[in-house]
Amino acid sequence: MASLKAIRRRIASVKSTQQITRAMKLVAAARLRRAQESLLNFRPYHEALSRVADSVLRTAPQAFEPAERAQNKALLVSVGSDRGLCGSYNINLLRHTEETAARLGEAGVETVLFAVGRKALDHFRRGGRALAGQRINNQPRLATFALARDLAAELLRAYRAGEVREAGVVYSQFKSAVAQRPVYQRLLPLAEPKPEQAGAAAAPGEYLVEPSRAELLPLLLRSYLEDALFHALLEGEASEQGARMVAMDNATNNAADMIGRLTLEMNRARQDQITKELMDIVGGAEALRA
Amino acid sequence: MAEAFTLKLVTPEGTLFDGAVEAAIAVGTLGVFGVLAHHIDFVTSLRPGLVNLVESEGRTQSYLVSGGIAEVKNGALTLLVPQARLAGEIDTANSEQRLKAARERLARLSSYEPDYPEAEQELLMAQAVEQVAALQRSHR
Repeated sequence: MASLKAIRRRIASVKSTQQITRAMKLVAAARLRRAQESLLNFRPYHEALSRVADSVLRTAPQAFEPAERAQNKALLVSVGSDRGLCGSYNINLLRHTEETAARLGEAGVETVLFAVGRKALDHFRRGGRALAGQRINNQPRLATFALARDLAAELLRAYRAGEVREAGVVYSQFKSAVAQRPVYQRLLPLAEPKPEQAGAAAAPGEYLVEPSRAELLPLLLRSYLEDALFHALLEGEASEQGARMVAMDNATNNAADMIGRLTLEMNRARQDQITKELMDIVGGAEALRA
Repeated sequence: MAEAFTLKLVTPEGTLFDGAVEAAIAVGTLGVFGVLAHHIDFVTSLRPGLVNLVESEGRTQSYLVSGGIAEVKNGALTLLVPQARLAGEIDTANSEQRLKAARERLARLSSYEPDYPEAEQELLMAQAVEQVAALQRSHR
């Protein structure tokens, strides 16, 4: 059995680890709250833009076919995190990215990746994947509209230049603090309108459009991409913080269990020592009496 | 007294204005336009500039917007704007230098260069900020 001193030292070390994990949990909880607020604040913009984009973009689906002679490639933005210690968040996300790439590969489409977050970048580098770009060290916040705008510009550029025939984003959908689901959302080419929606909005003259539909399309398309990417970033950010909060909560609980076990062991060791000393004393006294 | 309608000024970061106004004046790609109640359903692109809202009893508010889209649907106006700020909160200290720098930068670029749209955007923003500055000066 380990010595009393060694056990005490271990308890102290586990306790300080526990303090760190507890603090990280609180920080993650605060950031999660902020991320959820941002999601909520974003909703009115998202809804209004979807309404306009749906009704105007839908009238001109032929404008968004892949460029002629576009290379048989797809550009995937993978939204990971810069920091670890968030459980299986990155692992699940990156696995889904790989699966999506494999599925596209079966259809003969080669995947080029755009890594957001250090963890995603490191993973793809290790796997020797073709990288189209990267954005790491997105501090203090991942979900900024400026980042969404840069990503949208890159997707549009590659798509228009015919470097890819498909573009999309893989991100984690935030269901709750304990449940995140990685999803792939194809952004380009635009999804075909669902039949029932097409019927409902059959009248293309729904809006008076100025300057003209054709002139408004590039702006709307860009706005639509920025909107979708910003949404993905916000969801990813909330998921990351949720995953970290849960991971750190588990770590704190594990530390508490460990401290309990070690304390028990320590008490036993101390009791053993006392018993041994008592026996020595008794033994000595017996020897003197004899 | 004019009839009021609902106006929303939304950005990805949040809603800046949501309420009843009697009139709204904004800068569209084709020029300045105004919206009153019962406007036809309408979509247009916005240029960087000032949006003026007239609330009831003649109170007005101005926002500086960075561009975006304006939509009128069922008489309600929604301004979808990447960035917007209340005109009163804008720092106009270096507005003239900024405008000058933006003009010079744009003059150096040809319209085929990739930086051109950004420089053009910057010039429009600088012009709008200068406009705010001029307003502030005249109120003093």
